[in-house]
Amino acid sequence: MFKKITLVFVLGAILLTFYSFAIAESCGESASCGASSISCNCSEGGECSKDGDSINGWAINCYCDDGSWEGGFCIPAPE
Amino acid sequence: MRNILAVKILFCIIFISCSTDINVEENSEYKIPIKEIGREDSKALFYKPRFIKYNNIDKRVYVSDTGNNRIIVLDDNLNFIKEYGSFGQGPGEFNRPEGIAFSKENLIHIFEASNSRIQIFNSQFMLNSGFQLPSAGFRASLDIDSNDRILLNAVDNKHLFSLLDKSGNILGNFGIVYEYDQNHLSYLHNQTIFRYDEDGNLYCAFVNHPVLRKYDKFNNLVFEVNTDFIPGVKKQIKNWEKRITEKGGPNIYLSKSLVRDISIDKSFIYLGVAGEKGFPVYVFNKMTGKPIKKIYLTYGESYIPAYYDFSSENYIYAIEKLNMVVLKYEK
Repeated sequence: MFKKITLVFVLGAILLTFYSFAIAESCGESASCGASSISCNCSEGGECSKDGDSINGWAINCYCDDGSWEGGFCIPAPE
Repeated sequence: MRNILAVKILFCIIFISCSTDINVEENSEYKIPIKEIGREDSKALFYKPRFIKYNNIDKRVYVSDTGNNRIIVLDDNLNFIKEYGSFGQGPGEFNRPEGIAFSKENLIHIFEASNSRIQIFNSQFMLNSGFQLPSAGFRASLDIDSNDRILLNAVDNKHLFSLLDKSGNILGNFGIVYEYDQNHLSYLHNQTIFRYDEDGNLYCAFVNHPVLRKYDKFNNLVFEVNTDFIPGVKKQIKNWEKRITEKGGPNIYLSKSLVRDISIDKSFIYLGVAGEKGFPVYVFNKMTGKPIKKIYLTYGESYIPAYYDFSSENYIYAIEKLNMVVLKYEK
């Protein structure tokens, strides 16, 4: 009986860990600009997608359920 | 006695002006779509659609289906009419088509982000002309002024706007910019989204400053409105201040992304902001710049109406980003 309960707990913990990673992955995005990298996460969870337009950001452009919007551009080096 | 009367009148004026001052946050409208396209019509399955323009001449709706490198044309009830273009660098082909604008002769101007050019088509979408942009850095927002000149955000780091002819020659620059310590990035720091109205007035909103400006058709500044009373704008600035310390890098310009799109009709300016749940559109009086109300373009439970056009007399057309659909609302 004790072994069964332990097994259930262990399996539960593993599933929870995978679920947490899945949530984090679905909401976190990153992109690189040369040596620098840029990332964004939706602080309140929910949808977050990486894409862009040339107005708000090409390198990264995330939209979150709480309405926040993160944009960034890879920029040319100064002449 | 006269002094007392004068004071009473003054108090009355102050009271009336205060009592007629509308609280925008309490004056919200929620719109429900009356028509949509993008889920069932196989000809119009959008992929990362960017920018939507209603054409007041032919009464059609034009959508930059950016991810599919094509332009989709719909009638005013969102029925599919035609698609134009495919991926490529040749004439009539597209690589990330974004901004759309129409001249008085109904020539269709398409801005391509990755080909860094503008192609000009007639109403049948036959290629009329096109040109490579004179330098790098130009952005999607474009419009045509009352003299058929093409307006773009300037990239000279000294002006806000450049006016180009149909061959891509820069005819002139105007607009005062915000100074930036990294001068070579001033063009990004001063990026705006903008639209002309029917009378040739220009309305622009800064992507990185909480400011809305109106210029007359002679390019003189008419008014400047501060938009930092908007909760979403405040939140975006606060988020940016946090991000700039955590995520900034030498090869990255972090945008504040304060605004999403701007549109104009006969009476109002419509400014979509970020930072607020539901991504509302704030409505301003076109003559005074005074805020009036905010509008939510809803779609199911989770939605991001990222691009829109309010220029039709009776309807609103919008791109909803999450589900990649085009929606029609009654005004």
